[in-house]
Order: sequence, then structure tokens, then C-alpha cells
Amino acid sequence: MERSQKIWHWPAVLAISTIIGLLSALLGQEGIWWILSWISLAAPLGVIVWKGRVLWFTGQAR
Amino acid sequence: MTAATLRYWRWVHKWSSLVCTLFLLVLCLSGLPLIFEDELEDLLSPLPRAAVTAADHDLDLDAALAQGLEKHAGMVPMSLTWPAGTEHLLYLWTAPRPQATPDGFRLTIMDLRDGAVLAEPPIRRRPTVIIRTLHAELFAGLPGSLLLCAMGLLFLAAVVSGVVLYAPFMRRMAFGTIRREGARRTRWLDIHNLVGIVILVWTVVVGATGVANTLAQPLFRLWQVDQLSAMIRPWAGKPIPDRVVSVGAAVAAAWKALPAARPESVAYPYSRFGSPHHYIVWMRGDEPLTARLETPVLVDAVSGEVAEVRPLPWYLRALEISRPLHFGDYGGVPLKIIWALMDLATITVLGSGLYLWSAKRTPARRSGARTTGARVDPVE
Repeated sequence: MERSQKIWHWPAVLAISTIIGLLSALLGQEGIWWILSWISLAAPLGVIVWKGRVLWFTGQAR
Repeated sequence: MTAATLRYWRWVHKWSSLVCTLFLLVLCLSGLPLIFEDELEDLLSPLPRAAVTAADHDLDLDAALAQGLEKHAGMVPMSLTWPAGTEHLLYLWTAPRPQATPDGFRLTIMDLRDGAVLAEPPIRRRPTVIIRTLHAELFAGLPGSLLLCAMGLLFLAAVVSGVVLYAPFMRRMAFGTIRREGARRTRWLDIHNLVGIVILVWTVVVGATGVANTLAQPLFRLWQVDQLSAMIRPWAGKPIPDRVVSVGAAVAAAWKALPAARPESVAYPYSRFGSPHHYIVWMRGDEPLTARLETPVLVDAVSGEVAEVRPLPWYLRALEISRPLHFGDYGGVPLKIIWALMDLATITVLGSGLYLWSAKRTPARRSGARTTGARVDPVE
């Protein structure tokens, strides 16, 4: 149980962040809701850049 | 998870992906420019809006239209559209004869403040239209849409099976690990898993709403056959009127019936999209959510009175609400940029998946080796 918690912790956080991002701009009126949407949708993209940074250092992506 | 279930899911992931990947690559690549369709349109065919008068309110609709129609003697107006997100603009669609198919339509973009004709862009051969036709139906009409529907469903199966395989794969690894040492294939496998799991919800939402959109045409026909025909049945068999009220009067009547909404488009009585006895005025709301929900108002073309206001059935309402979640056009340019980056991330997952499959096959085939025995990577 503990192990599956560890596996799914970050994917779950990013999934919830994406859902908040998708809905907040849809249901809210411009302003703060749009900004919330941009930030929470950018989170998964930020994780890709953060985790992928090791590839730049080695230059071995391809 | 037992070895047998794992094998089953691996089989689902492999074959659902293999069948749909090339189609999905076409969709992702053609979808990329479509995210910025409005911006591209502005860039490719800017409207000379500056030339307009100082007036900041619209003319009477009939008076404004008269000028646009004057330029097209012999053409028949088919429908009007008030483009979303703009003010004072009107799209006038004309055709050489009543009941013409959309292939023969011409578009005139007008300024409602003074009735000036701003542009008459070609409807087909515009780059954005060509790309959209590829994206929505692979240049193959309804069969193309339905094929893409099937590919979209396979893609969703690939995503679900990918998630199932993610857990056993990550048992011994920290989240987001990309192993630099070792084979190139291992590195791409880690990238495939990381990017895939991180953008999971976005791909499911855009994939599912894309599948829903492939059914737009059949669902709209279903509404026409099922509900619209019932709405206009009382007029069946009556002679086709030779004099109808003006479109301005019809729009005003519809607006009076739904004061909180605004007109989105009108189908003229002699167009193929309506009824010979009615103007159909499509109204949309003013709130972020209701702006995407259209309500058709039937206006009697002879009396000019509202005949019926009937909200769309649930399947078309669901479709309309799902549209922005596919297009990403509901949160300004930053949201569009996020959509584009997510699209590129999806291309990475598709491309790496294809590579992982081919890189595994080649050595195995060369040596004639069978893949048996214990595995290090459950996903391989």
C-alpha cells in the first residue's frame, strides 16, 4: 500500500492540478481564474522540464 | 498484478498504440497551427477595420445588410454569423440560388456600424481551412471523421493501458527518474513514461472531447431528423411563402424572446439548414459557460412571430460544452501556448513509443531470439 502511494503521489498531484487548470478558466470569468488556470496547467510542463534537465547536462537525449 | 494480466495489458498497449499512432501524429501536427487559428487568420487576412466611421453603435441590421447584398446582385443570402469575440462584425453567407449546398457559398465580412464590406475572403483554399479539414476528417468527409473517432478511442485505450503499466514499471524507481547511463532505449523509455504520466489528464480530456467532436455531424443530423422536423411539422404541406419578413425583424423577435442571450447566427428560410417557413435564429448566452450553449429560436417567416424556443438536446449541449476543452481557446493566449506545449509533449510520447517498439523489434529479429524468461522492465 505504501509503495503504491509512493508511485502515485506525484502523478495524482499533477492530475488534480491539470483538472483545476482546465476547469477554472472554463467556469471562472477572466482575471484571477485565468491566472490560476495558467499556473496549474503549467505545473506538469514544469515537471517535464525539471526532470528532463538531466538530458541537457549530458547532451545524450538522442 | 499477475504475469498474465500484465501480459494482457502490454498487449493492449502495444496494439492500440501501433494502430493509432500515425493518425495521432497527423492530428497533433495539424492541431498545432489550429490552436492559433484566430491569430493566424488575423495575420494572413487582416481586416481593414481602421477605415470605419466614428459611430460606435450598429445600424439597423436590414439597413447594414442592404449594402452588402447590393454588391452581390443575383446572390441569395443563406445565413448570417456574428463571430464570437468580436463586436460590430457580421459574416454574410450568400449563394447563387436557394437551397445551395455550402460548396457554393460566398463569404462577405461586414461592419455593422456603417454596413461597409470589409473583406470577401475565399472560403476554401485558405490555409487554416485546409488544415482544419485534414484535422477533422482527413479530407475524406464523414467517413474520415468516423475513422478518426475510432482512432481516438484506440488512443484512449492506449492511454489507459499505459497508466496500468506505469505502476509495475515504477516499483523500483523514484518519480521522474531518467536513467542516463545504459542503453539509449532505456532513456527513451523513461522519457516516454515520465511525459506520458505527467500530461495524462490533458491527453484524456483533449482525446475524449476530440472523439466527441468527430460525432458532431451525425449528432446534428440526428437533431434535425428527430427534433427540428417535429418542431416544423405543423407547417408541413403548407405552400412555400413567397414573401417573408426581413431578417432584421426575425432577429429582433428572437432577441425579445431570449433577452439575456445574443444572436449567434441565422439560417434563412430558403437555406438548407432550416425550414422553408421559418428563420432559425441561434442564440447564445453571455456568460463564459452559456456563451458556448446555443438555443435555436424558430421565427415564423410570414408573421415574424416566434414559433418555438426549444433548448438543444443533451447530446448537443454536451458537445458544445466539450468544444473549448478540445480547442483550448477559452483562457487567452497563455492558455493557447500551454495547449501547444502539451501538444508537443504528446508528440514526444507518440514518437518515443514508436521508437521503443521499433528499437525492441530490430535486434530480436536479427538474432532470431525469442523474448522469454525474466524481464527487468515490465513495460518492455
